[in-house]
Amino acid sequence: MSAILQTENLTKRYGRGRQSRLALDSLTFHVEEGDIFGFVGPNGAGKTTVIRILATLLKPTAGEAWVGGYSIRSDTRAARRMLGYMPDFFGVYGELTVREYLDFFAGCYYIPPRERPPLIADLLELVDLGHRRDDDVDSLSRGMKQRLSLARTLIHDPQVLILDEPASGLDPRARVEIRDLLVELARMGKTVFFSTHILADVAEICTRIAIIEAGKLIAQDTLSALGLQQETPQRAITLEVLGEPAEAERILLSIPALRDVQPSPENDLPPERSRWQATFSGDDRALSALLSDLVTAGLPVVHFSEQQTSLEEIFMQLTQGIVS
Amino acid sequence: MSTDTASPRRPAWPLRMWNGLRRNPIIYKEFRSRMRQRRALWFIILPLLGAAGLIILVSLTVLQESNAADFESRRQVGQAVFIVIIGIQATLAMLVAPSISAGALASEHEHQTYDLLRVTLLSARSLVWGKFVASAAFIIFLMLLQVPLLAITFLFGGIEPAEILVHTSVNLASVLYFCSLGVFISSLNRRSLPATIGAYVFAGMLSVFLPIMLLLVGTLVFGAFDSANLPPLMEALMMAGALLLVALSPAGTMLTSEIFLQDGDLWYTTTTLSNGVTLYSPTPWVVFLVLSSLLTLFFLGLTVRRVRKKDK
Ligand SMILES: Nc1ncnc2c1ncn2[C@@H]1O[C@H](COP(=O)(O)OP(=O)(O)OP(=O)(O)O)[C@@H](O)[C@H]1O
Ligand SMILES: [Mg+2]
Repeated sequence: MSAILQTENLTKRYGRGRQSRLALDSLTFHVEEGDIFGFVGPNGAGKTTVIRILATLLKPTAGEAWVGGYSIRSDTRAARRMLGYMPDFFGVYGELTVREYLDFFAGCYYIPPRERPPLIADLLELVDLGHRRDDDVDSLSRGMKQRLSLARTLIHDPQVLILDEPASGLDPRARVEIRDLLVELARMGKTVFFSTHILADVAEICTRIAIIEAGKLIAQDTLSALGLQQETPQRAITLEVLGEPAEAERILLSIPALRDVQPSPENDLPPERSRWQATFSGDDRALSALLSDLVTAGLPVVHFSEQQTSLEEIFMQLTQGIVS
Repeated sequence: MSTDTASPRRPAWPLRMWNGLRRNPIIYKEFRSRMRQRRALWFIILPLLGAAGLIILVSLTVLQESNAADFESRRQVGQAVFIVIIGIQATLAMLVAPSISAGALASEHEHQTYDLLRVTLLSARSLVWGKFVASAAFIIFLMLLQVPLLAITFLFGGIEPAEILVHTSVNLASVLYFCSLGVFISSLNRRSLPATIGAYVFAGMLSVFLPIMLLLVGTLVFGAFDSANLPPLMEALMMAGALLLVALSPAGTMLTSEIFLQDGDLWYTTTTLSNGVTLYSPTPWVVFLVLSSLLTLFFLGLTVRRVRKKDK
């Protein structure tokens, strides 16, 4: 496995002098071949800036980036051959039909006219737009335009797709369709790199992610390593028990599966009860085993509830304190 | 084995250029989408209607004053019709070309397709030349629509082939010139409207304001001398200056070239300086062709550089 996208100390400063703004601060990360890589960050974090640099449309102020091993600074043309880029806007010509639109971009990659019709037919089938091939591009719905854009990025059979918020502004169904397409593309051997702030997308399809905030990289790893995997969710447990709080605490701390045990700050309980919070990771079976363990240990449990920690909360925890 | 002998011979540059243009996707796309705009219909109909109306008006005026059977007045009608058509073609070149070409790159920004084009393998040069050729070809197509009307002038007579050569080539050269200028202005703007206004202002500056300024400066400089006995070198300089001044604007070129044509000077003209030396100089339209071609290449080169730099 080798890195198909790589950045090293990527830095971008917009503007000059005192008015200037540091949009990216020494970003180093890499995407491996075959990854579905989620690039996550809140608004203004610098996702689009990174994507435009990787797509060779913006020169970094400092640092370097490579697409398929080709430098975006010195080997621009070779890098462009490797990548398919989809911006966070559509970019359509009103007077062209779907087929003509793809034909035009095929021409921009110098694909011989003879080879274009079968290629375009295949792509339209892939994105499920075959039935709209003779319609004006302008007449397509948002989701269809997004799928057409995806077909456009594929026209020269690039190795890596660089997509800026492919799912933004789409209804849930269209979003799922795009998500399925990305998985399909990964199966076809493409590397997919996309930015998003929709964490559900990330959790469902990404193999690895990077989190960026205010131009800085906070984390890059697999989902499970970051605790974002939905299969082993982090669970927040709330317990109410009878009796001495010190005794309850002793028992709770003796259960290894429970972490971050602490008394609840709220104080609306009758004096004989105490409320506790803890985190636990494991599935439902493990959760019910936990309850029986607690009872076996002699803890008089009167209330036991769990709230699944949302991806958003973990995301907030990871990014807290760095908010600009 | 050397790779040179193995690889096929590189074709000559005109062929390479033709192949490049033929493979240029921009030209085809521009033409296709331009012809689908409702505006295109007006660009086609209005000049034709204008030409037809003016021709009828002019012919009736001439014929009212003289006898239709009269050979001389028939020649006059022929000449009048010719002037109308050349005038309309010149209007297309000077007034329509800048506005059509000014949208070239700005409209890609407006459609948010500029980045999509730049990320493809299409080079900055192909993009700029494609836009240029597409807009020039559209204007030339509009001019060609006038050609059938030109046939009327042959019915009446009175037009020399030399006149057709001069005016047609000046018109074609100014289409290229104004289109390159428009494409250049287009690369400085992200919106079509300011680009169009900018192109008109810039074209006006170059072909109206600049000649007038040169005229003023020239009058001041040469006014300092006694015009009756100007040194021969000064005379020659003044001639060259006047020629350049005229050749800056297509309209000026056409008018003065017509005067030279009356004297039978098509390609060059001679003047005798005060010291008896005969000065050969090209006629204004020849100067215009050279000057406008150079400026066309200059503007296109500048635009390619700008598009390349915008990547950064
Ligand atoms: N052309 C520009 N000129 C000046 N500053 C810019 C420019 N583009 C972006 N920025 C700034 O750079 C920072 C990062 O912007 P960027 O668009 O990369 O963020 P983003 O993560 O894509 O945000 P979003 O989720 O809203 O799309 C922001 O503070 C933004 O204001
Ligand atoms: Mg963005």
